[in-house]
Amino acid sequence: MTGDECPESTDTPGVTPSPVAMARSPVRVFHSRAKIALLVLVAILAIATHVYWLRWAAAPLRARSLPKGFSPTLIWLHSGDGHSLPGQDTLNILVELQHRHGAKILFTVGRPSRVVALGALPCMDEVVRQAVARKGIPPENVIGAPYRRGQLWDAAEWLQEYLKKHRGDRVLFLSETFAGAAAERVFDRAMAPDIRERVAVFEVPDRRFDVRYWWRSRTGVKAIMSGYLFGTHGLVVPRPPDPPEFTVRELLDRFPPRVGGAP
Amino acid sequence: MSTVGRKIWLYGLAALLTVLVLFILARPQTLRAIAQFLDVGEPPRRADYAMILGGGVETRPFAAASLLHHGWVNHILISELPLLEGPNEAILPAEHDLTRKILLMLGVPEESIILLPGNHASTFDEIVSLRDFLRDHPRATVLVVTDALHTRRTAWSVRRVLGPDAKRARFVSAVGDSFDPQRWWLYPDGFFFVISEYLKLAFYCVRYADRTTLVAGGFLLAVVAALPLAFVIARSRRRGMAEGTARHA
Repeated sequence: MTGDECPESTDTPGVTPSPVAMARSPVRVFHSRAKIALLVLVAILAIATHVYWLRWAAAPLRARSLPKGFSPTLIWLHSGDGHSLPGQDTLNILVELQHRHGAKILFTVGRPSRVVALGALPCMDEVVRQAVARKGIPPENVIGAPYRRGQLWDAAEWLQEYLKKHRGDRVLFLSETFAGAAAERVFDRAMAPDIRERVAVFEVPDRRFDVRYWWRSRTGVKAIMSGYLFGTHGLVVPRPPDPPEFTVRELLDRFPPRVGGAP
Repeated sequence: MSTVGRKIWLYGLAALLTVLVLFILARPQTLRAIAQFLDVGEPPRRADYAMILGGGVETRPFAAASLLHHGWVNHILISELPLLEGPNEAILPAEHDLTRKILLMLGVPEESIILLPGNHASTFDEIVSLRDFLRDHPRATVLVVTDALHTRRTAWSVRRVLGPDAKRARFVSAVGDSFDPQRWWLYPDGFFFVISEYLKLAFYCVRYADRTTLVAGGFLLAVVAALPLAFVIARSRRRGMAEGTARHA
């Protein structure tokens, strides 16, 4: 009898095992089962430890801890779009920090807001002035930087010149959650080292999610996504070009008049 | 060729192909096409309403006002977007209030502005409100005004929510001013917008798809995922048999 005729007889002394029997030998079966068991184990471990590695995934986006004893004389707010403030609950954080450090508030704008230009909203530094005044902070404590069109990089360059003239000032920049590291990278590149060490970054917590459990909230997931996308782009293109600019008239003339007149 | 030599050759080929694919992807024409795929906006047609989707207060109300002033629509719909802060902490008005104010300042009559009430947290929520509105106005047509690269996801939501009534809606692109769509990859906002739109589109396809599509898509995905696995198992078996034959010989 040959192995081909009777695969089951492989353990018979003196008979060579068949190819089929070799392919499914106990050692091979053990190996493939061990691989599957290892995969399952890794999956279970990943689920069991998700809190740690998901937190770890957010760590590269966070700002560094404030230097020990860092006491700012200026709290810096930057409105990229010219009509909103970074993060949620910014006003309360701003007031709390102002009371704690007695610092003034510096406000810069990234690009001109059409909404402000139209008069639908007051200038943002005026909005901040009125808001903090309601919380007991004198409006003269808010410094509105002269308007400069550009990105955070341009605002950082402006601040550098300001800090050269005001040698005693230390600045605390308020950033959105998970955007702190990206802001730090801009300052690292845009500022001279001696100026840079006088600027620290503080991430304004977003009340809609807990940063330690960001994956449990849709807002948290969006914040991580935007942190990674903006952060990645900042690494590749640290100083992006200025976006196009349109006047109100250009936008209102966007569509041609309908032939046949008004409906 | 030896096994090691063949592996080196294969890895080299894979690396070359990867570089080639990245090169093709990085070409400006390809990058432009990636963004253009998201834009399904059309020239305006006569409709009863223009609906402004939330999230673009710097441009979308201006486009809607332009449509109304140039005779394309009679009324403008805006969806209610609740304040994110408490009333005491809020230093800026709710977005729908701001949009209304902008429209009024652009000369849109008060009676031409209609607020769709509700807690609209996403584009999908706004389209659900539009469906309810169109049910109450069975002969009405609407131009949905949003950013150009947001139109594909919006159109998908409209088809999903409105079903056969989706043909009552058309999509009109507002000019975006935070980046140049022809060079979107150079701008942080452009990069974020395009990539996140694709991610959101994928999310919408999973989260909001109807059950049949979801099951069919899941099945297709399972088949696609199982194919390489089946290939690996089959190859492993073949190799095992070959080894067995060799030993047998």
